[in-house]
Amino acid sequence: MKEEELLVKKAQEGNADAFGKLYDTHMPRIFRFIVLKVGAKHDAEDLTQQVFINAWQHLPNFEFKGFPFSSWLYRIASNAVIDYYRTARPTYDIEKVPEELVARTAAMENELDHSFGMETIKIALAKLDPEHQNVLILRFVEDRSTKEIAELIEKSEGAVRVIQHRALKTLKSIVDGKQYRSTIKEA
Amino acid sequence: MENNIVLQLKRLKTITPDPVWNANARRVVLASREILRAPISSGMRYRFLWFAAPVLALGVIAFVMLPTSFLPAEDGGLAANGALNPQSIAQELKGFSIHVQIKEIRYQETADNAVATALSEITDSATQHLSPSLLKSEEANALNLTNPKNPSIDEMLDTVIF
Repeated sequence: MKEEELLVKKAQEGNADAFGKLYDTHMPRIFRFIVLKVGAKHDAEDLTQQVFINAWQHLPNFEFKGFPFSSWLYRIASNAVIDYYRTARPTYDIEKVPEELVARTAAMENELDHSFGMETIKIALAKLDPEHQNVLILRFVEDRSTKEIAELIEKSEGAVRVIQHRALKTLKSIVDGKQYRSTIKEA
Repeated sequence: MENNIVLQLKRLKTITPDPVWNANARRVVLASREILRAPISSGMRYRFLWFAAPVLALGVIAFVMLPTSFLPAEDGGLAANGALNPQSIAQELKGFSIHVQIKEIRYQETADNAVATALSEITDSATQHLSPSLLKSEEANALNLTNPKNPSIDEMLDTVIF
């Protein structure tokens, strides 16, 4: 049995330390997934906390079905974001993903292609539909496998590849300025 | 360009939560299950009944009152419908005002008679003997109790002794 499975089993029996370790492992990526989808830092923090409270409450119902524990957490997070947009109806703001959250390093700055930066990507990502966002964030930001993403969004692996291709194409067109410039004019 | 986009997407991995928030959130999350699982004491278990009691009482009243409001009236219609008929309400109001006026007139007559009787008694000298103060003074004068040589006192004592 893998280490994560052991931790989940202990946590299911009510071991808070075991769940604490699972929290430490998965919380940063769940927070990142949420903050890239909702933009606002405080909302992302509240949602992330709620996701882990829900996970801790419903952990006894969780069963391993060939996918990592994180898939289950992403599913809870995805539903939380859907509920967030359903009830709050917020608008994504350019400034919503705060710069202080992005831990820039000197090496990164050197590597950065100045034709467009992370801010542009964040804005462009926010303009995609939720499914395209999910696929791009999970595939390229969180390095999830196509199989895991397919299970998460309840589509076939082939469908995920198609969505990924279309999402990248749309993102590229936004970054190229076709949609980005019009957004700036509107703003 | 596409590779550049993928590269930029990968850079978003550097987004990290605030460590202070993280520490607080961790505590809240881990405590949440304990709070929900805490056993409920027997006193707390039925505490909600204090809030439910007035609601239940109102429910019972409504349950009893509502059906009786819709019992058939004498004219065959529903009592509630009859009570809400504007014509019958207007008729009731007319009768009500007449009864009030008649009662007021009767009261005024009685009050006037009482006042007239009282005034005539005050002014009539023939009825002065009814005054309690006058009777008392008359009684005292007749017996002349303060005089030790009063013969009527001796007569009264003889009557009592013999």
